[in-house]
Amino acid sequence: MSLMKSMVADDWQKYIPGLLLCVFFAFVVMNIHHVLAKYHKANEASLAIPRLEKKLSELEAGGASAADIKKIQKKLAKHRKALAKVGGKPGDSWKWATLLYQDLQFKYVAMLLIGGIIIRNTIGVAKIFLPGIGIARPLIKPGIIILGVHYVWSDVAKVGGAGLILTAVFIFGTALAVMYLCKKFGVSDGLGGIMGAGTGVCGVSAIIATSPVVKAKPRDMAYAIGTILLFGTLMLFVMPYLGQALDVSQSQFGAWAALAILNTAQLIAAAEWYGEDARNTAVLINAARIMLIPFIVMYTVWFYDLKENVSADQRGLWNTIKGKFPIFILGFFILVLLNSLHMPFLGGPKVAHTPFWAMNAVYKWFFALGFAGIGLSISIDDMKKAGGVAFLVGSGAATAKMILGLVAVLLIGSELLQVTGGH
Amino acid sequence: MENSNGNNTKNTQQASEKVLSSEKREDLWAIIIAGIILILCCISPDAIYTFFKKSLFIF
Repeated sequence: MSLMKSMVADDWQKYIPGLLLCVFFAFVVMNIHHVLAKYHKANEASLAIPRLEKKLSELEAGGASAADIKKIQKKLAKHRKALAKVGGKPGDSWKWATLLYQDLQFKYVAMLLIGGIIIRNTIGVAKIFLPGIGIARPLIKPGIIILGVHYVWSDVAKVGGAGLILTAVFIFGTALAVMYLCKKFGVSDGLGGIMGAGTGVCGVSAIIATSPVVKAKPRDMAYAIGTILLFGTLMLFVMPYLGQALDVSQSQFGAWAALAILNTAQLIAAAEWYGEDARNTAVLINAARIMLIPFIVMYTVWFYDLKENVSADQRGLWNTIKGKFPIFILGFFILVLLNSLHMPFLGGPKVAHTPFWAMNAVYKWFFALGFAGIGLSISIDDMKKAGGVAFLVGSGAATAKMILGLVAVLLIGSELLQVTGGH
Repeated sequence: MENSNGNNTKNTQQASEKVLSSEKREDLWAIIIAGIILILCCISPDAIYTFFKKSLFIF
């Protein structure tokens, strides 16, 4: 009974209005995304059908193999289906849909984030909705767990292994650099410590985890969280376009986002925006990264030599791991394990009428709810709280990490970072 | 002055512990929700697929 009680917040009723607002916002945006995708596919089909019909008649006249003819017929059937969905015929044009959906990448992620920011900072969000909006963001976590059906252990070993080495180097390198520079420029241990942990590893979670260790003041936490949010928000919008301009592959972008963006929800939003393969790589590398949170806390204790500040029951590696480990990631790995066992009754994300196929249809809705929560909670006023030398050091280090991360993933190449899903 | 610093540290520590315990709660809820979805998908994969891929899109 007490376990049940501890699982539900005492004042849970206050979360309902904001949560319902996020559900409504996500529902509207997902439907707009669906319409745009439908007309974009119809536009592509309208252009492709005459070309494919011509090719098919040429192949038939030239006595091509049955397999080649079947391939073209299959493509034609797919395009005709896409066209039939909007009641169009070959030659019809929906260029606006392709412009919005493909050229401007105006997908549900962008609509929820940009729309949310506009709503929050123009018409505003009533106070009654704020607690629920805050609780919508973590709904990305069940989505991440469900995404486990996309991976097999060979992916975890290959991409996760490469990701673990990359993130370990970048996390500890950035944290050490920021803490050293903050000490050198006379920034307090509290602010320097949480800024180092925040820019090095998982943004806000790491700041919260390390704040009691370095005895950070509430103002320090506001500065550090403001800096992380400001930088993460900028990168969230800049990186997908930068990636396209630099012709970065999907898997490389996923790894780059996981290294450069400090907040789990923001990096998954950026990667999802870029494409499904990018998201698959980003989720796996992020899983490797957030497992390092307990170690960054230990590292901060060591750097500032603060053992006497840590209470006896929180000392030691095991206690730190137990206290700070993000346990939801275990759910993700359980699904990876189940998918790797290739059990016929569970199927796979592409095997129709199986449990994992059905689960694959669900995760986007959790992401949409989470992204609605992020967009509606980004307040320009909160970001103005970032400031001072610590801001310059923190954002300088985060920018350096972004550039070095890009160089690293370009050097590593696409193949090592590619998630196969067992295919 | 020292007293106010002590209070500040205590407040930060309490706030941090509160947030961390709520993070743990979020993590557990995430696992529970994903587990429920797995069970529902095992019971009726087609109904879940149709609901999330078709029924929720009204246009």
